[in-house]
Amino acid sequence: MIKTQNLTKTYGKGEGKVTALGGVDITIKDGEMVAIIGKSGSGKSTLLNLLGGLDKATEGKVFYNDTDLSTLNDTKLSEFRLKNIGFVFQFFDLIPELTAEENVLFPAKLAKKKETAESDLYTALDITERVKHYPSEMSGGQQQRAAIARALINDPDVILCDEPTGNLDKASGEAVMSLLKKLNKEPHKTVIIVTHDRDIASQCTRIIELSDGRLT
Amino acid sequence: MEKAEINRLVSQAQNGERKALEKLWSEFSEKVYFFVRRCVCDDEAAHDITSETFITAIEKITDLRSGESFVGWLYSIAYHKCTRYLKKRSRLVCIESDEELSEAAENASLNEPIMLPDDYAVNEDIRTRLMQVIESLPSDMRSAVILYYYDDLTAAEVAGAMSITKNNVYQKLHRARQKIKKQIEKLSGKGTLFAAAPLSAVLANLENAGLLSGAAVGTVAAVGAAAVGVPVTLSRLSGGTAKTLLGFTLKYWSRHKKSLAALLFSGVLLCALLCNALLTLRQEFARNIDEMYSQDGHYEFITRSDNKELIDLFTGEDTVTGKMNVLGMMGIGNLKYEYGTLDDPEDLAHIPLESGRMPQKKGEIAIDRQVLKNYGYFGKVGDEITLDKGTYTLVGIINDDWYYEHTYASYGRRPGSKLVEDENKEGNYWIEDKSQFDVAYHIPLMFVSDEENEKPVYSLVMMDKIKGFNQPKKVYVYDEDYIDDWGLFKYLEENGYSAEEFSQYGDYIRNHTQDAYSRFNGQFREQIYKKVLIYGAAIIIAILSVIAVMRNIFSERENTMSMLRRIGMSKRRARVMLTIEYIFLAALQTLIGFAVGSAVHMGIYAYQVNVLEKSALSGFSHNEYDRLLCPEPFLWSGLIAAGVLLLGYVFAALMQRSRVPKLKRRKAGSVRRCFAKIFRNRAVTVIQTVSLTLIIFGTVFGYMLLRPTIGSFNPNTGEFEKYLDTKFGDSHSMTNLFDFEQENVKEYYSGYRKITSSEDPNITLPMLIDMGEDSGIDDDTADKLGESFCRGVLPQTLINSPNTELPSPVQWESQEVREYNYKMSTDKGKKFLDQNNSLYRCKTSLADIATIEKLADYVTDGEINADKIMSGEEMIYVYSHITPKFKAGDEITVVSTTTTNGFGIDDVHEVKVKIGALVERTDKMDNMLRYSTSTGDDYNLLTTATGAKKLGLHSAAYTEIIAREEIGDRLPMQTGLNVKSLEKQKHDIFVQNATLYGSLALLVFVMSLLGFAAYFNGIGMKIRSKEYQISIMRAIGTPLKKLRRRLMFDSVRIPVFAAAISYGLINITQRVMLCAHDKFEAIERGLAEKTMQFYQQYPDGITPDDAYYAFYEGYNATERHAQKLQSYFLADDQMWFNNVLIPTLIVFAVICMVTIMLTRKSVGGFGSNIAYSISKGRKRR
Repeated sequence: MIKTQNLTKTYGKGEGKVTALGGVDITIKDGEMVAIIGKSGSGKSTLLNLLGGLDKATEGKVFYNDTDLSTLNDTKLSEFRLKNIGFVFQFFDLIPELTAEENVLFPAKLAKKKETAESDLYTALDITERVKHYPSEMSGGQQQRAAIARALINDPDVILCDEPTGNLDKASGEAVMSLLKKLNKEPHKTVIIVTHDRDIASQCTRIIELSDGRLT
Repeated sequence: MEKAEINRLVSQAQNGERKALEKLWSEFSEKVYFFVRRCVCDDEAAHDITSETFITAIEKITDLRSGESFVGWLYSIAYHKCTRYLKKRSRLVCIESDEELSEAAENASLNEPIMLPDDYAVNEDIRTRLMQVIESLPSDMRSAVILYYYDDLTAAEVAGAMSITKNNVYQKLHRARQKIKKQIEKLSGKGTLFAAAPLSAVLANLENAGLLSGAAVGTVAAVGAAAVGVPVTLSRLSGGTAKTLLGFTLKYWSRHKKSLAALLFSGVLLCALLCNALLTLRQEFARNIDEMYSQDGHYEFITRSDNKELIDLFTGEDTVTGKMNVLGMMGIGNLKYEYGTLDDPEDLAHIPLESGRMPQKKGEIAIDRQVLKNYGYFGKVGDEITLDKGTYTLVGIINDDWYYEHTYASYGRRPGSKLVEDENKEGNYWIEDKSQFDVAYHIPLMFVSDEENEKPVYSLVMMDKIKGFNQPKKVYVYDEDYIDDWGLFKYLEENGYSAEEFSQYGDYIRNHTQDAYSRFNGQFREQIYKKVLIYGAAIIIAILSVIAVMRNIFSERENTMSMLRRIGMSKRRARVMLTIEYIFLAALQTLIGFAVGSAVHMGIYAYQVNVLEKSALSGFSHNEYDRLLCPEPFLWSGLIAAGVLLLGYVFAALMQRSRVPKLKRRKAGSVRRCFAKIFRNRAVTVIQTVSLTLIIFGTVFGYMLLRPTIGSFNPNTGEFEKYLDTKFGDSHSMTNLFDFEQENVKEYYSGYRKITSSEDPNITLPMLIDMGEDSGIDDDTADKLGESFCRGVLPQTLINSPNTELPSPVQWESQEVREYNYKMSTDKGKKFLDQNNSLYRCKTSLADIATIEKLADYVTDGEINADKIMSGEEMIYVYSHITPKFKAGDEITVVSTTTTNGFGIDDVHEVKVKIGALVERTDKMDNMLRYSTSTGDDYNLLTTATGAKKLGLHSAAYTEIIAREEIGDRLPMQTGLNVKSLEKQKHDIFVQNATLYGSLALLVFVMSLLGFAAYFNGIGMKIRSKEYQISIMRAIGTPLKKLRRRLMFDSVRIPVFAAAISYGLINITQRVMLCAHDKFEAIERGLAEKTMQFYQQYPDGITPDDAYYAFYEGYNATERHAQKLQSYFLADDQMWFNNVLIPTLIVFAVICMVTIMLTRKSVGGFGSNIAYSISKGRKRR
């Protein structure tokens, strides 16, 4: 279960202060598939970053079950991210110097995991043939699937996606969505998707809408 | 595109025709992009927004009522998207400060496009009218518009320029926009197709057409430029186009101050180094020539006559700067020296004066210090001196520093001396008057004021042209072997000169010129090559650093440049802009470099002149020759620096072109390998490793070079203080070692002054001529003084040991000298020389027993037994790399010889003594003896004064006496007594240390500066360039700690490699040099032996002397080669094998520490906001 308490994020100081997120309280149960929607600048990406520990909240807290993310130091937080959260970004963000396979296996190696199910992942994601390639040699869809594989390699409970289909054509986007749905259904992963696309949001079990940094 | 055409396409598109849409896209996408790009200032976002604009347009095109308004409608979509984007960006992460936020807001409203006739860019008529619109604005509004939109100043800057508030600026701009809008609408009437364009683009366009020039912009721009600190002249000079570029450039660099500083720094350093190196080279060159002049005078022609015709003939076109007349001989008793006059006494031959000046008035005299010493006189300037010609006032003492160095080297026939053919050998000549051998000085040692009615014996004609000096002129002699180039012989015959006379002159000229040249060359090379090495290394590092920095700057600038290209700057313009920029930077660097380089040089010069007190030998020369022979430092350093910058520019540009990363199919199986793969940046690593290797190698090498030549006193060990404490019972710290005032040491011979000097005019000094046997203080005096005062050297000690191979017999430079010495010896001496042809000549050092006992730590064989040393039973043998080796317990014969006048052997005293202990000469050991002796490096035997006395070594010559107390008149004045007070000794050491540590500090400083530029820059650069990758890794779950550790390890690897490589390189150099040294030695030795064997095979007509000479010559050559190698190739085991590791480790440790600190700092820059870092990194890519 993921819970936030009065989650607030502001940038700047004084008169120029911009509130990206203003006191958000949400609870996401295990195994839910939640879409966070809102217009550009509504604070949805900020919320996702805070949920994933990629950024520190100005105020408020994020709880994973009983763990308060704000109490973790960088090493602990990193370890938490490594083992419990999988990230999928809009721009895939694979490390360009590593092949797809190396990208996928990197978190596993960091976590010192001996046995990984990477070949199953490749098959499921249909990228078996491309894993020896560098990101620059792959299409957007392939890159995103590799990024998903990377997010899943440590078998995290929560998958956070920031506009996962934003940079993909329709077919690839649909494929990615159905994959995420499958993950939610079968091993009951908690999936949180930030999107501005209502179609995608409608495929989720719950929709959280943000406007000007607040829930609506 | 025609309006009708657009209408048609729009209606087709509304009907869903794909092709029409495509056409519209191709027509407008670039325009929209251009517009958007101006609004959002971000390439990627501009692309996205352009696409989004078209997607929205295509979705909503059916809503558009008529094709008429398509263009405006399209731009309004784009504009809304832009404002939304800017708002969102300000909300999200890109806003770093309030200022940027307000700027973004300001941009959003003020940069809203204005609608202009679509074809305004090409339609001359419309543009002229537009121009009129702008010119019709009230002047304050016009100024604000041009400064803001055209000169690209911020509102704050405009406010500053116009002395109004920022809000006022906004107001004026807003109103101006309204006016322009209205005017345009009025002008164009209905039915015109409008296009949206940012006002700044409009102005730039007008400027391109040459409309917006002259008064309108000129005055305003000048006001603005002056107000924001841009040089007005520059902006005016560069004209309209350049102004935009200048503005752009200034903006870029003001935002990248660090890069600018790095670029300037490295360039300045390079230029300064070059400038300094060349100035130093020039100074060294000048100094060497000066020194040579001091020694020989610079004359090429000697004649006893004043025949102008003849002089002209000899000197040709060269400038004759002066004449030195040798008037005759004078002195006391049988010690006579030539005396002469100079017609330009201050300057002509750079006669180095220890004190005073050269004589100017009648009755004045300047004498060489050594000559004074030979007379047993230790007076000073102002004293009266009576010589056989009369009484003179001593006005100057000529420095005799060089005398010791060159006594033997320049020993030879003096000009003008008559030759007598040897009775026994045809063609062998002897000098008739032996007294002419007395001093090995080509120029007189006594100078008197110009005496009237004195006809010179001969004159030295001085010429100031050093050019062509290294090509001795063909000589003009009466001899078939020589070529009579100028037909001189004929001339001489016709004019009644004797051939013999000219044979002499010719010979002299030839020998002298060649001698002087080779001496000069040798000296010069020896002194300069080490400096060239160090400077060379430093300059290579500087070049690397410049290139590295330029490469860095290029990759930083790439984004900006490509952006400029996309918004329409032509390739040519971009190139022009960059070229102007770099030329300006290069000029700036060169100027600052000159200043820094010459300032450092002047500093060193001042240090040398004021601290080292060798002004006569260290100054800039005011003579022409240095300029003729050395490259002009300012010209060449400027040229080379510019060349390197150009090279860096080309290099960086090429690197940029081939920057498509090559991805290697190497599998990264572990996290470590993944890291390695991600952070691989070979170009930077190579530059870093090379420069670090050079830094370490250069530092250690420089350290090693400086150490042995300058001295080895190490203040850090505390040995010196301890020594002084035990010695004198006082506490002597380093501070009061350097503080001469506190010491209050009186020269011990001060008592003697009372009766000698001009301080008491009633007493005239008799010149003491005591050439008796004792050339030191007598034993009775020594007894009175006590042990601690009696130390110094016995100069003429020979070691004779039949059982040990000795490398060199008695060393006299040439056969002629040896012969002369032989002839000057008494029968006893001759007999001794005949019997012994294997003698090792060295000095015997005398030290007090307490000092000797402290050497126990350095004993390598045997042990120090104080009683046996004091009783004369044993002596200590001190050995180094090239001296013969003995064992402890060996019995050797120590031979002490005496001479009355410095030549030949008068008396011989042989004594057998045991070697009690062997001591290896090390720096530390030298330090122990520093205050006991100042013998230099050629002593091998060590004992006490008492021991020497017991052994009966001749006169136990205590030639150096160091005292802390006034001894009064207990010391008799003796010939050859070398007076040196403790104070002077300390001062000497101070100068040595100051030189050593000063040079080292300078070297380390320069090296670390260079390292900072090339190496440390690379660390940050490497990490910064991988910001994106690091952020992704962080997002995935890599702890900062791990990253930091990884990166530190990565960074430290380079110093490790570099240190290892440098250490290896130095070791290899050492080994090669040592090998070469041994090889040379072996070859020379073999040659000498072979020559002797050769002579022995043909005994007929070859005397034992001949064989001996051959052998001796060979050995002598060996010795010379060994010494040369030692100084040229550093083949000295003491410094090589003791000192390399520690300095390498120290430099390595320092670099490691800084590396770790910098890495920590660079990694520390990755804060908690990972998402922001990713998006920033993404943008950068």
